[in-house]
Amino acid sequence: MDRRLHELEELYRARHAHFVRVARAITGDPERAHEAVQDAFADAIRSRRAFRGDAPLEAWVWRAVINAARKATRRPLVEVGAAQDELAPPPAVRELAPAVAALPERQRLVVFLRYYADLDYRAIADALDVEVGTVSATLAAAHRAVRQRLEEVQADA
Amino acid sequence: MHEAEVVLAAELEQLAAAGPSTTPDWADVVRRGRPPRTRRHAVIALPLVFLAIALPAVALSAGLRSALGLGSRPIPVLSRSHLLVGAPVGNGFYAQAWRAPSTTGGTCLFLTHNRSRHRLRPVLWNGGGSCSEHGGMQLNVTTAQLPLTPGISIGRRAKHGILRNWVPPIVFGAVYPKLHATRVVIEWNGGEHELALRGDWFLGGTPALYMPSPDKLPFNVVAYDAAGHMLAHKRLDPKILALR
Repeated sequence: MDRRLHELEELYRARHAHFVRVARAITGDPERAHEAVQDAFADAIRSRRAFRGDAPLEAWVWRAVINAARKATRRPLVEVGAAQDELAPPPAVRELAPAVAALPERQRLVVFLRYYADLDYRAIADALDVEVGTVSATLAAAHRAVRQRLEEVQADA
Repeated sequence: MHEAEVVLAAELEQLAAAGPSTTPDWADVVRRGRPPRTRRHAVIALPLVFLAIALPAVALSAGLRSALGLGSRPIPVLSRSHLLVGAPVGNGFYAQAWRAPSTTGGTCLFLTHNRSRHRLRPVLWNGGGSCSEHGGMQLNVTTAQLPLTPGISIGRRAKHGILRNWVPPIVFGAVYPKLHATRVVIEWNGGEHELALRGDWFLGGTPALYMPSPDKLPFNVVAYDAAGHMLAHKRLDPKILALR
């Protein structure tokens, strides 16, 4: 087995839950999320020799997962109602989900990578191919937007 | 971080943890990551169920053999394949049954499918089948007591797959030569489908066999003579058709 393939397998095994969690947040569907992660790693295997190593391997794979998840989101589901067996979220976060969903895509992605994938700012910057400062500013904007949305919901209640 | 943002961050982490988890499957990733040609074959081959009723050997497709690391097992020498019978099976596909020597000096009986009506010698084993390791293998094992030996090859229709790539169920088998059958048909409640018959071998397929509704049961393979008399019949297992 070549070294890169071994690294990809280690990354997959170590971070699978995080990849699926972010893919699910993007696609909104656990099955699509699973497919997106599988396809992203399969693409990574096929094109691993094109990886130049100027950013961490994980960031490179994150880009592939995000792209695969976005692509999966655009693809219509063949079967309706495939994801009906999800657990309901805890009451404390019920208002939070729509608030996050309402964020602009870039902010949502940063939130997902920060909290769903547990990436630090540097890793998020690598994954999204932006500066660390941009990540910081985007996350701050996302926090403000979510907080404002929650305050509005509480005021309405 | 602002205090409110600390609370927000904690709640976001709680939200992230609320979703269901899935099981990692690296073997599946590796299969998908193979070059497109190999991957396509594996995807088609893996869901196949081939009931080699007439054949004692384990029936595995070439793709599945490879995936399971059974590369040293006998496989057909495709360049020396001899066509037994071929027919359209629906959804734009054609299937063929072949006999060929195996790579280990035995004999193989196997299926292929493709989109070409021309029955050219196969370059790929992408259906069910079986091979013996050494020596000849009695291909037609029918007897007066067991005059029909139908097998069925069913590929599961992928939930999010492309319907165009789905190969409908294929029925293939032999009829006892002394019956002199001239026609072999699949019959069910409300319909029938005629199979191609060449010598003692029959083959055909139809989407109607895929997970049929209970009111269509039973499905029988029936052999007739030239005068239209029923010579033999064999019921297809409804559990297999329903993929249970």
